Amino acid sequence: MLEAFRTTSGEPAFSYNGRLLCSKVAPYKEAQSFIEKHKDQLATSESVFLLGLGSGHVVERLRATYPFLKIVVVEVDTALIEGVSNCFAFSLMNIDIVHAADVSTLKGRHEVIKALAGVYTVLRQTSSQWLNADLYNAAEELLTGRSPDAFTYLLSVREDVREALRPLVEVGGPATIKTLNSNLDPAAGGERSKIKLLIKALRELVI
Amino acid sequence: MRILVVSLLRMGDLVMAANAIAGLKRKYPNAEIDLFTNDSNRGVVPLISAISRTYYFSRTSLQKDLGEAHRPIFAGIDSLKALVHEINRKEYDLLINLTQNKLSGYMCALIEAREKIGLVISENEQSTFGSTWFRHLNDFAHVQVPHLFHFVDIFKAAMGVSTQSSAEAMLNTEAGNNEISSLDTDRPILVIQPFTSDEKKNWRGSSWAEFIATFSRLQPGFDIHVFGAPNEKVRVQEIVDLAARRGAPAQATILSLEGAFALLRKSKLCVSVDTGIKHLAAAAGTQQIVELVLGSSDFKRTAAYSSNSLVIRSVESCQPCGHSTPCHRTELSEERPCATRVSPMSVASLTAQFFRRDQITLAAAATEYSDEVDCYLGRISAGGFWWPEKIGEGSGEVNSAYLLELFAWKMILEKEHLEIVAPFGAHVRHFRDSLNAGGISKFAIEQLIRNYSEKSGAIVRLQSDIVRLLKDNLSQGTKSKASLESEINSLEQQLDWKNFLLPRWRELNGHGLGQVRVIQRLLSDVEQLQQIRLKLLQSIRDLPQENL
Repeated sequence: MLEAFRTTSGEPAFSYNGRLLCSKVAPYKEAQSFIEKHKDQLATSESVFLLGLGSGHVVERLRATYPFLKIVVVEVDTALIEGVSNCFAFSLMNIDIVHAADVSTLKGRHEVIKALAGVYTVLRQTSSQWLNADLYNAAEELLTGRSPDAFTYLLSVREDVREALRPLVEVGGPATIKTLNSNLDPAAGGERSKIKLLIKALRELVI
Repeated sequence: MRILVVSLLRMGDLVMAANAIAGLKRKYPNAEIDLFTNDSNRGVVPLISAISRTYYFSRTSLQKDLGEAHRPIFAGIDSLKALVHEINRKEYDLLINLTQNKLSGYMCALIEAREKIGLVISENEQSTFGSTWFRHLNDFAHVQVPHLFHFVDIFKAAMGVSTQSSAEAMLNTEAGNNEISSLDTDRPILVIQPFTSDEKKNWRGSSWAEFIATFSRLQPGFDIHVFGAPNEKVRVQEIVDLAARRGAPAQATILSLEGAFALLRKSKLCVSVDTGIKHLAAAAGTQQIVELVLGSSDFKRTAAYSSNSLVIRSVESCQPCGHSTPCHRTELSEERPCATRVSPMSVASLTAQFFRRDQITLAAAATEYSDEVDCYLGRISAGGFWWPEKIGEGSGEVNSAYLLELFAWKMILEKEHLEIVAPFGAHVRHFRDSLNAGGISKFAIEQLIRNYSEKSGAIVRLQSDIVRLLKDNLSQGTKSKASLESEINSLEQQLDWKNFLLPRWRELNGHGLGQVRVIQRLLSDVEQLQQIRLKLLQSIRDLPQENL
């Protein structure tokens, strides 16, 4: 059960089934320092996938710090979504909260596909991972595209990259830039050749 | 006019590029010149004059994008794509790539410009250079043959800009001056840069301390600063403490690059291993620069671009070794033979003689320590190129041969030998003007002419043999790759340059006729070079003896 309370300094805070979802002293400060750790990635991203809504403070701080960043929250618990969203009035902001009971739900959601087509960051909301760690692990794997299945899925929504590559028969382990480089399609020209050059340039960084 | 200069290497390379950029600004005074460089060079960018805007390549961040499992697989592609898009919005008229690596080649293919000079590699691995000078650099990039031209000269020649002092290339900043405001002294300043990031190029700390003690005895009165970056603070302090125990006071001086530049402007002398600081010293106008060459340092290309410099090189036979490979003779960085062979006494003595500008005593000292080190004075030739003048016994013929190669290659790279009236006479005059009193004898010239004449015929025959071998194989395809390479190798061994053709052949693997054409061009250059050498030598021979 979700319970709302106020910290000693008057900030809103939440606990779920008796476990805290954020700092009971300074939840905003805690959220801000979490964002700071990822500022390099966030500064260059168009979207961020936040795995777990948590107490909502991270979402609120993300919105305040990066007002033009599209925020897609993946959350499994409807009660949490309702309670936290009401507190912060998220529905009025540049935020999509995707209720997902499993990973296959995510794959078809248009908010997800749209964000995956651009530059994005994937962050795990650490304070609420215990709510459904397996789902968040699977979601992270899907959105980062490092497993063979996830890689295939990402390619399906990234036409620009897909058309520069030959069909991937088997990734054989986590996908890397080497995987992409070894699957470049010699016949791909025009705009696709730019992707090929980008991949070749990046490959040089890991030699 | 909008120009983008690409320099995706380290700080020292960018400082060398600054010199060429200043030349570019002179050539195009109204041009907007932008820079694309690694973000690790942020500290040096404020010092470079003539730069309007800088784009940074975030190497570390991109490597994280590629290597960290929680980052999206396409994150690197997207980041780089966004950067290229931002650069391309500027619609450059001219792109100049001063970097010779594949990464820069691919990046320069992605960046749009009306004209491109320097390495550009297409998605089909076709390389273009836009300049014979950059092509020359690429031809010799991975080949173990003697290098002739300083990088700064290659940059300038490729850009078609004039050679002038490097002093105008960099700016003294207020922030730098503020950093050294407390270092006010009336005594002459000696700055020592003891460390590079490459352990192979370093001299042991105790040797530096001994150098300070010995030099202080030979040339007292200096205010000595042992310089380092913040992450070298402990090692720098160790040297200062060791020197103090030997009765030689010195200061550990930790500064930003802007502070270092301000300090070097005030310094009489800078003694450095192969690091960007020596280039800063040249740009700052430090009166004299001494460079200690160890490990993989290739001073012919990367020495301080100055005519007031002394290069002290370890004579260990494996110097210079390859970049990025550990020393093959020892695992202990402080026990490398090239470093241990050089004694603090020799470096201190040579530095003191150099500081006194006493050429005769310096040459005598170079001869005395010739079992430890080779010594060279940095010179700007009458033709406008930097070159290292060897000093000490028997150096006259080495210098003559070096200058001969320099002028011969300049002719071929500038295609001067194809002109109706080829400027052999001008080069011979430059050759003569560049040589000091210890030049070449008529007898030695006759010897060289005989040697080159004999080799000329052999080169023509080999050229024809190799090209026939390659073409036959292309049309008939009868030889295995290994057998073909073995034959090329065996023919190549009869040329002066070992390991010259084979690496290029392998690099071009699979490009059929194109592969053969490149080899044909290289061989044709070799043959024409031989003819130019002979003509130059014959012209020199015909000069009166007193002019040599």
